[in-house]
Parts: sequence; structure tokens; C-alpha cells
Amino acid sequence: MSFVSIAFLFFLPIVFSFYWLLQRQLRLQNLCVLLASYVFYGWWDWRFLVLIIITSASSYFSGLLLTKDSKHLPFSSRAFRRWVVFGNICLNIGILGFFKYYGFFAENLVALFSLVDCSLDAPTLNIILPVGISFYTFQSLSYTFDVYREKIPATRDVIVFFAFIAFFPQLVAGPIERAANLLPQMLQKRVFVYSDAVDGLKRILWGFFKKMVVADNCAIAVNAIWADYTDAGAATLLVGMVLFTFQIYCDFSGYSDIAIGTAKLFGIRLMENFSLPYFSRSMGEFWRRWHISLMTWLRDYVYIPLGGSRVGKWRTAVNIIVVFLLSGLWHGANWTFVAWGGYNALLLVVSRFLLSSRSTDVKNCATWRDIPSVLMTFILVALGWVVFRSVSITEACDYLSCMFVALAQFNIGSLAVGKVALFYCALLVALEWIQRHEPCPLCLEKYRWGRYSLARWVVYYVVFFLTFFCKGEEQTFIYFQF
Amino acid sequence: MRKFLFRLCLFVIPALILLMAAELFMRSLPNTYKYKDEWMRANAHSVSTLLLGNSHGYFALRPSIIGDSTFSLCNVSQRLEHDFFLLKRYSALCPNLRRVVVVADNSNLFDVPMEEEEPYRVTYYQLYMGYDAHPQLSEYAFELANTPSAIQKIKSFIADGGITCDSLGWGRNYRAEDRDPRNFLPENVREHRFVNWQYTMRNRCYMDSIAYWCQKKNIDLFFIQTPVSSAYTQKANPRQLRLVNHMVDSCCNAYGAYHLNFSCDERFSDSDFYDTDHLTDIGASNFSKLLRQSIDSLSH
Repeated sequence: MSFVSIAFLFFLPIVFSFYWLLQRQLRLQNLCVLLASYVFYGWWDWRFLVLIIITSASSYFSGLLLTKDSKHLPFSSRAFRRWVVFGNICLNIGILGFFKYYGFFAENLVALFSLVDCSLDAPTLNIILPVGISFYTFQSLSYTFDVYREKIPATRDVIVFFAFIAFFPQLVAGPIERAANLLPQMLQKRVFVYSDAVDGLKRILWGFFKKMVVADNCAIAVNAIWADYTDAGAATLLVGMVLFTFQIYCDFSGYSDIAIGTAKLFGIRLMENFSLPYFSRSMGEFWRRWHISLMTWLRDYVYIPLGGSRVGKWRTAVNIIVVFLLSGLWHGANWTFVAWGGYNALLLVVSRFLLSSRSTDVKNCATWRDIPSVLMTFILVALGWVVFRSVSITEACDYLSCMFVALAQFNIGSLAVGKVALFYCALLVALEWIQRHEPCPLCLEKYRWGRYSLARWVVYYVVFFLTFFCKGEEQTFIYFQF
Repeated sequence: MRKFLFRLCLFVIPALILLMAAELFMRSLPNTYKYKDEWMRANAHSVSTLLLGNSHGYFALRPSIIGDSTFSLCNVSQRLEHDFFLLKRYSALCPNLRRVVVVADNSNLFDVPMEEEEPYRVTYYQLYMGYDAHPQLSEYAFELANTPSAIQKIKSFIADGGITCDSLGWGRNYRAEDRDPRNFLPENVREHRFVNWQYTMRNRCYMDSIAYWCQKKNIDLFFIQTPVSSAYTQKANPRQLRLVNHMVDSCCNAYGAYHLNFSCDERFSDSDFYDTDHLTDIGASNFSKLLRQSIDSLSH
């Protein structure tokens, strides 16, 4: 079930009502979350449920085994624990690898063999990629790692654990939650807090605005430009690149906003996934503000175990490259994603070691004086998104070369598509800039005029009707494919 | 919780009322689909010839010339799927129905489903012609679900009252005096490209269903290909055109229907066309006379 569907419009109030009716019975309330999550996920294809149940069960039993008393073990506790973690990784990554990467690896293996005049006949399978598999696989793996490292105790409550893996607001496109944050909230009694629920609704409204107005309108222009980029002028190609930069941001962060807002309605706080990434002043800052849940996951479970930044310049550079290549591959089974990861790693390494760029604190927002560095970072990020959007490396190179070659004849008047979408992007930038110091979007109470309910409600109605009447053609969330 | 629910209702109810009012207003505006449905409900008993098809038929087939009791159910972008549905739906109201004319050519045999290309039109069939192919609470059940088409509809209402056909269902707004020569430039030629076999076979099935249905009811069926300009034929894929002829011929042979192919008729010149594949009002009059002669000579 997608957030942008009529089914969800009915699903959410029904689940919300049952959930709070069961407020006094925690176990039933968690069961309600679990069943709702399975209905939500099974709405796409009920067969996908089998996979999520296998993933949840394997991590649940791994957790139990990891806390098993060493007296009852046939061999050393340490070795046993390692085998448990290894087994869980193999199973989960195996499922992910088979469903997501089988075709990619088979295709590349055949190509590799053909280079040495060897013909390899890899069986081609028509595999459907289960929605959100990368998200819940990483979430369940993080639980096993944290239990192994004894950061959190293993949970024995099977309903709570399965609900933690399948929690519907963040199941299909994140944020990739950590057990240390979500599990304790599910284990304790939830109380309905009015202000949280109102914040949740505001967040949902803002998420829908980003997705339906900005992202979907950008998508129309982006699809048209990409479909015919060889004949387009520099202005069109440049606008195509900028619009996709906003499309992917609003599509993904819009989803995260709806997820975080929905969870708040259920009294659960999810981690933030985006923090105004396009106001970043450096690539390092951008990656601390973009897809925070994945980047912190990779930091904690890949970068730091590899030695992080405490192992000298070269090893640190290698670690950064490994993390970003993995991040690229996580996004999809295509060389474009790997190239995109490599490009970002390169930028980060260069800015960190060659330019010695200052470390910017994410808590401090950009000011007017930072605009040149913000723009520079934006352009570098946008160039990377061209690679990400393209079907192949060749297409990405063609697009970029067409754009740079035609830059000499740049004429904004020749722009054929995307004017409306550009307007929405400008509106979004203005609104985000105004709200950049606020803890959440549409927090209007801090303004003098915002103290009046009527004034706030007028703004909410404007956003609501803008979302309803200015929405673009409905597009599937981009990150569903990952 | 009570405060939350109360304030939520306070916010949502006015918004819902406003949206419902806007939806009702949109539905109350006259439009071609609604007009044709109302006309058929009121006058179907007198209809002996029904015309079905997409824009090729909508602008080319003039019911007033084709026959005394003829009505056109053609519409822009109408698929064979809808032709079949409309035939079944309204024929029940037409006790005197003897002849059915259906456009089956390069423009609709390779069509992708309407949901993929022009979803807002699906709404019109669902709301005004009773085609319930989608649930009542789907995106196709509301006019407001597609803002650009709603705006377009309001504009059309202001410009020409919302109904673009004459009293017998013929599309009257492709007038010869409004003809623009730029429509005939090679870059403006609309190509009706083959997309995939699945869609083609789907359309073929609907064509067969129409033919089978007419055979069963003992109704004369004419599959027609309307005239097209030389610019259109030049750009069209010749293999695709041969395939159209083959498919229509084989369907006619199987179900005893007639195939009238005017696509290469040399009696029509560029001046008869509004654009490369649609006739002007004058072209439509000429074509309808020719078609009448052909139909009358073949009818039982």
C-alpha cells in the first residue's frame, strides 16, 4: 500500500482507532501494529510477507542465541556468537542478494566470461524485487549487530520484535530504524500526546506537499527531458538535472516526513532521515544531512569497524570509498549506482584531504554568507544525480556531454518544459529557507502571527489545497525500487 | 485524544465539504460524454445505426448524412474496449438497431490502455457512461483527481458550453476555416506506434468481441478505416498498416463483418484534412456521403 493511495486514506484512521482503543493492553496494541503492518505490506503482494517473516525470524532467533548462557554451549561462547552473526548475515544478505542482485551478477559474469572468449550460460530468472527489502534487511541486521556487541539486550517478545521489523510507516522506504531507538518505545506503554499527534499531522501534510506537488511535477518534466535529451538544448538539460535533484529529494524526504508523521500519530518517534541537505556547505555536511539513517548505519557497521578515520589518511580514504561504493550498490543493481557512489566518495576524499574543507556542524544552518559554498555543493551533488538517474553509464556521459557542449549556446528562453516544476522548486527552497531554524516543518507557533490559530489554519489550508490541486501525475516513490 | 479528534474534524470537515462542492460542480458541467449518455437514454429506441470509434470517427462520421436514425458514440481517444462496452450498454435500449460502424485502424488497434495514457478520460466513462471497470473509490471516480483536466473542462465550458459535438454526436469543432497548415509539417505528424503485442492482442480481442456480438444479434457490422493524409501514410510503418488490414480482414471473415478501407482513398486531398489524420467538417461531409453509399450497397 502506498501512502499516496485512497486505500491508505482509509487504512490509517482504522488502524489509528484500533491502536488507541487498545491503549491499556500493550500486547494487543503491538499485535495491532504487527497485523496492520503485514496488511500494509501484503497489499502489494502477499507473497512478500514470507520474506519479511523469514528475515524477522532469523534475526529474532539470532538475538536469542546470542544471549544464550555459555554453559549450555558445546564450544566457546565467542566462536558460537560469531557463527550466529555470520549465519544471520549470510541468510539475510543471501535473500537480498538473490532478489536484488542475481540478475545483475549473472549478467556481468556472462559479460566477464565473454571477454576471454568463454561462453557462460547463466540461467535467467524473472525475479520480482520485493518492495523495501533493502530497508528491512538492514534494519534487522543492525539488531543482530547491536545484540552481538551487547549494546542492547535481545528481546524475547516475538510480537514486539516482528512489529519492530515490519513497523508500517517506515517499512518500505525507511528511515532504517535502530533497535536501540525503536524497540524500547514498543516495549513500553504509549500515551497519546496531543502536541505529538498535531506535529505528526503537520509532518504528514508537509510530506505530501513535497511528494505530490514538487516531486511529481518535477517527474513529468524530468521524464520528458530524459526521454529526448539528445535533441535538447543546454538550458533544458540543465533544468532537467536541477529538477531531478529536487525530485529525488522531495520524493524521498517526502516519504520520510509522512513516515515520521504517521509514527508520531502512534506515539512513536522515528529518527530523522533528512536535515535540509541542499543547504549544505560541503560534501561532508551534505552526507550528514542526506539519508541520515543509511549513512549512520554504514558509519556504525562498516566505516568504524574498518578503522574509520583513525587509521591514517590512505586507509581512511579507502574506508570512505568502500562505504560509498556499498551505499551505491545498496541503491540498486546497476553500475550507475556504483559510479554514483564512487563519484561521491571521490568528492568527499578530495574535499577532506586535498582541500582540507572545514568540518561544518549540522546543527548550525547555513546563512546568507554561505550561499556560494551552498551553491557549489548543490552543483556537485546535482551532477552526481545525473549518473544516478541514467539507465547506463553511457547515457549519463552522453547527457553530461550534451549539457556541457551546449552550454555555450545557453538560452533560458529556449526552455520548453519544466517551468511549473521550477516554480514549485523555488517555492520549496524559499519555504525551507524560512523554516531552517525550526525543529519541524510548518512549526508556525514561533512567529508572532502564528500565535493565532486562525492564521496557522489558513496556512495549513493553503498547503492542503495546494497539495490537492497542484499535484503532478502520480509517480511511484523512487526509493520503493531500492 | 478528544481535543485532537475534535480539532481534526474541525479542520477536515470544511475542507471535505469544499472538495465535495467542487466535485459536484464539476459533474454538473455539461460535457460530451454526459450528453451522449442522456441522448441515448432518451432517444435510443429510434436508433438504427450506431457509430463507434475514436477521434477518427468522431470528426469524420456525420450521423446526419450517414442515415436518418444514426447516432455517433465516437469520442476522442476512445478505445475498442470502450466501443464494445458502449455497444453492449446502449444496444439494450435500441430495439431497432440494424447497423454498427466501428473505426478499426492504425490509430486504435495498437492503442495502450487509456489508464496508462489518458487516465482522466477513464473518469468520464466511469462517471457519465456507467463503465465501472474500476472501484467506486479509485482515482478514476473523481473529476477533481486530475486538476489539469478539470481546468480544461472549465475552460471548454466557458468557450463553447462544454459540449463539442452536434446534436447527433459528431465532433463539430474541426472546421475547415480553422485549419492550420503547420499541422501538416513532418514533425507534427502523429505516429500511432506499435507498443507491444499484449496491447495489440487486447485490442484485437475487443474487435473480435464486437464482431461476435453483432453476428449473434444479426446486426450488420462495418469496420472502417477513415481517410488519412499522404503525410500520415508516409510516416506510418507499412508493416503496421499491412498488419491492420490483415487483422481486420481476418476478423471480418470469421464473423461475417465488412471491412471498408478509405485510408488510401485518392478522392481526399490535404485540403479535406484538419491535420494529418482528421477530416475537417467539409471533408467529413464528403466522406460520410461515400460511406453511406458503401453501407447501403452492402446492407441486407
